Amino acid sequence: MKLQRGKSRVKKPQVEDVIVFNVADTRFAIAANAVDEIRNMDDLNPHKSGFDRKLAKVKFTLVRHNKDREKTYFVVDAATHFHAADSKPSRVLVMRNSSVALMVDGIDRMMQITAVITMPHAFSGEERTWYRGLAIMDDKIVPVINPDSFLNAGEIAVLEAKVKAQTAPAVSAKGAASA
Amino acid sequence: MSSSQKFVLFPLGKKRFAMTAEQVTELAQPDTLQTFPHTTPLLAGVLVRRGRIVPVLDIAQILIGPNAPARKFYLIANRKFGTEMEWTAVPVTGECELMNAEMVAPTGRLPRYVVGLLSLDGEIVEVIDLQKLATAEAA
Repeated sequence: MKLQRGKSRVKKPQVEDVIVFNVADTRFAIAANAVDEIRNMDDLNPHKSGFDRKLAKVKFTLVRHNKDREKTYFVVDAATHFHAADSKPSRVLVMRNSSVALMVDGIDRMMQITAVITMPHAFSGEERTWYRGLAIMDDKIVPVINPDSFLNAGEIAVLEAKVKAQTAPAVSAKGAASA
Repeated sequence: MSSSQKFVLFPLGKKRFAMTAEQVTELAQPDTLQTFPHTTPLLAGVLVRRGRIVPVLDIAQILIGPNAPARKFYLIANRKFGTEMEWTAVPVTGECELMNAEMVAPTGRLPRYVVGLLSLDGEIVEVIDLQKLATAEAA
């Protein structure tokens, strides 16, 4: 009779790949599968938010000419979003399945985390939507970003309408000239 | 029947304040305060204590103003959020004292977070409700 080895009952901890990046003096982490591309600051077009203070954090737009060139990404300055100061952005994280890109100071590393700890209840401000939770890396606390928190659907719709309105007159003028 | 209760007295600058002992878990040595962006008033950051993340609530700004001296220890208190209890670290400027005392109802125009007064050898000590103080500030 052949003895079969039983399945291990020890549960392996769930491991998540994250990208660790810096904004001002703070390290943040974001799920690696939420990021489509890490770019330098090339090809960014300045964006003016006008009177909408909530959208002042959108500093640039980005069209990726080598990939989905019909799509416009709205580049959020992470320092403005997190009300941080003294930021020197040098990299852009383009989010996957989203119209948002994030401007950050630098990429620290990629690493694996085994736990995202729920935000303590004492935190009751905007951070509850900014972060999925907190991770401990080398005895240091690192907020784990919620990638959906930078711009909501309504804000993206407003920004997309604005981009369409800016491109529409050029198209109609061109059409009129050819007619 | 005596209405004597246990209180933890803690110094903030030249003044002393009190919390009911049942709110307090321990007095902790200075620890590394870790900060990250947030918008909750009074929260100075977090400590990592025995694998737990403990928010640090700096109540000195409210109780004695912006010029509070350096805080040396952390008083770890329990706060209730719905059905859950959570640790909160309160920075204090010196060593704390546990004592039995009789609390009297607050008089005059004291803030809502002062839930009682202790009279200790001529010194009047305000008894603080941490939850009320934090929520009043957030509001």
